Amino acid sequence: MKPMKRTRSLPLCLAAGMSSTLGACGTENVAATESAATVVNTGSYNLHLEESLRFEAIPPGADPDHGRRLFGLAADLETENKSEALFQGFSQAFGGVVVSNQRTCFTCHRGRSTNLGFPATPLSAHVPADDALFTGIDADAQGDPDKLHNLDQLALIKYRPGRFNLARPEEDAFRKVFFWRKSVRLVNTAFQRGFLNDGRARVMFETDRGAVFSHTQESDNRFDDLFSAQNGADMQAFQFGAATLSDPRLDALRDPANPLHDVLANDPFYTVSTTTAAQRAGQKAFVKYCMTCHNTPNVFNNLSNVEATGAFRPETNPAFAPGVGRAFNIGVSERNKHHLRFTHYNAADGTFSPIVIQLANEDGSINNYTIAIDIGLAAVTARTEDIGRFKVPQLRKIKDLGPYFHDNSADTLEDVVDYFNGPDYNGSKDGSLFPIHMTAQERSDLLAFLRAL
Amino acid sequence: MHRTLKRKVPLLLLVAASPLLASGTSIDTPQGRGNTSSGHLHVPLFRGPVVPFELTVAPTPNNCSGGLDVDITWNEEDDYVKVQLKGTNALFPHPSVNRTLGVDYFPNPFFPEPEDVTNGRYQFWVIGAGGRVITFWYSGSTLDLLGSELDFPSGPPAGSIPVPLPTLRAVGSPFFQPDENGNVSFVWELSYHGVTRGDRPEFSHHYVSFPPPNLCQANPFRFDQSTARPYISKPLPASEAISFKEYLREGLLFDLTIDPPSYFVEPPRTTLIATYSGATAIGGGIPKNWTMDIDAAFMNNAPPIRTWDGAGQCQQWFKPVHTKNINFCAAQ
Repeated sequence: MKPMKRTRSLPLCLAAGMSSTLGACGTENVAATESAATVVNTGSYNLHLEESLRFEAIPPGADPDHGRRLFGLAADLETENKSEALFQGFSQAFGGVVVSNQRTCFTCHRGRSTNLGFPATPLSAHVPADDALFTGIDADAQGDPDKLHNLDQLALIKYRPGRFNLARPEEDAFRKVFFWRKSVRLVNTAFQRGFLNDGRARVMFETDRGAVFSHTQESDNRFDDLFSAQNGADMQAFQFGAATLSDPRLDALRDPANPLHDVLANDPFYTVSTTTAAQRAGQKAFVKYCMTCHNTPNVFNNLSNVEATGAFRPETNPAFAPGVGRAFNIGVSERNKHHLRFTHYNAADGTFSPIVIQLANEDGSINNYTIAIDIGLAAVTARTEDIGRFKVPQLRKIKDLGPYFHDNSADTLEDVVDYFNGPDYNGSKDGSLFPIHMTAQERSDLLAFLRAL
Repeated sequence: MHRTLKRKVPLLLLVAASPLLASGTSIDTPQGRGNTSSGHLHVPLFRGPVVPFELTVAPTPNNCSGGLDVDITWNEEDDYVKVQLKGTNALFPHPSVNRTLGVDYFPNPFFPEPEDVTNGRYQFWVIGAGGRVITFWYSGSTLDLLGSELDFPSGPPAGSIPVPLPTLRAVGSPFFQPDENGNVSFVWELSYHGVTRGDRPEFSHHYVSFPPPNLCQANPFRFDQSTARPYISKPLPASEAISFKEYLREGLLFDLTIDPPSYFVEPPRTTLIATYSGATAIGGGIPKNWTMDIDAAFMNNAPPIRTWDGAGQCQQWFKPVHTKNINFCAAQ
């Protein structure tokens, strides 16, 4: 077995934390890439990240079909079936009876025709007003007056990542921090390193449990005992399985004993069919401009990960939170195209007030930071360097997965490519280290290639 | 599976960078280069970053203004790991630390240590953040902690209740002292393939965890609500030593303890008295004057770092017992 030749220089570039130029990443010059190791932006970058083809394992004995039923998806993978999907009842952890608002996972991941995501906006054109998506809106939005517009028109949901941190008081600023985020479409979920838009959930179990807590009831109470380890394992088996794979051959990446595993590892484009000259040229542009970050072969999310995320250890003993993958600030948050509001809504008097959190600068000094944008990973790492950082999404079926970015701020693939080719990306904290300046021909070719993914 | 993947995809990395390193000035964040087979780590250590429950953090010279750095170099092929500590005016020679029963010293049969240390010595600990999950045994009648599977090698006590818990994996260096000015220049060289305790090479690592002393004090879903106390296993024999690669894969914590001039128990353990610490297991390390929020790092429900209460003062500081006084049996 040979190493992954086509991406050989890229891991070393990433090993540098951030390379000073994309050109350095495009060479085989190890000395050059190592010298780039002394650049900038450590943030929460984990010193133990590795570029290794390993993925969170499916727990032995997990039942994907039961997971589908818990998910709220009928056997046709298209319609909702709530019969086993409501997490409600007496919970000792909750301190009483949890009453579900009738939301299920399906509520935001609406069948395979939407790639287990939302339909096109406005959502009300496709989802009836009496659907739990709308009737249960306050479970996550909790009275925020922006809730309906952001959900219906932008397909954005309010999340408070510190909401269930009951060890800190309710007035703690980190419990107030919130985002407006898309519902991630479930395509190739099995290959993620860190889940959700910013990778803040270490393992799938945490991701599912958090979704159940936050979207099905309005309190900030936990009810861990209604979401058993077996439930989590079954849901994980479903979400990592055939229903979400863009190509069944990709499953071989998860199994080194599969004869196809090494083929996929060695040829990052093995499962990509490029039939036109433009697509083939676009692939070259992709290698030149995109693969520094989108470097998982045949999946094209980011390959860096820490080992201890469930692949080789039980989920009861994952890595210290969160920091299990790599994230980048490419300026999307700072752009805030939809002019989203990030101040705290005081329901009692209808006013908004700023949220100020304490972030750590790299020298240990305290940054009393007033939130005005989606701060990304910094909300869960408390590090200034992580403001606006998000993980690198997978790219298979990308033409069908719009709108794009964590805030649905790019409607089309053209918008995405133009963003990366423009000043917002090239002037961003991390994007400026990997500048992209495509010619019109490269842009056109790259779009052709992306549509073939 | 793990070994197979490693062989097939050998390009691993240890990452980080800092603008300060580029400019050649002092480094205040962890740095790393290489991979798990060959590489180098530089980690600045401070007072306070990694402070487990019931740990006493001792003051250091010059109003705690000194610093200590650790550099670790490893090479699998040549079978060596070199740990180097350097600091100026960083430590008091032959330190003494007095504690008070019930205030900052709480006897614990699962972490045997003296109350006070007089004419002490220093020991540096390399701690893998992901020791294996081991089984702890609780009395079926009283629900009290009886010990772990490492304490009952012939099998669980009759009628006991098994509870699997995650652990850390810790191995200590030889003891050392700073010079009379408090300067430290200490080197510990060890085998890459079999990491053994530096002072007692017939032993390898310990497992460290924070089990509840009684199951009625444990909320299985809420570590933050559970009473938990430190546990350290006896050192495993050298025959069970593991590769330094495992430590690197797990992510690292570092601690510099103050131990008595002779062993308090046999086989040896350590104390809950320390000075400098640091971590790479928390992405980006733990900055000066910040500390690891252990509850949050375990539960992933809040940032894993927060400001350290002991920052800005140079006093003996104690991390309180993780006692929540909640009887979950009564709640039923």
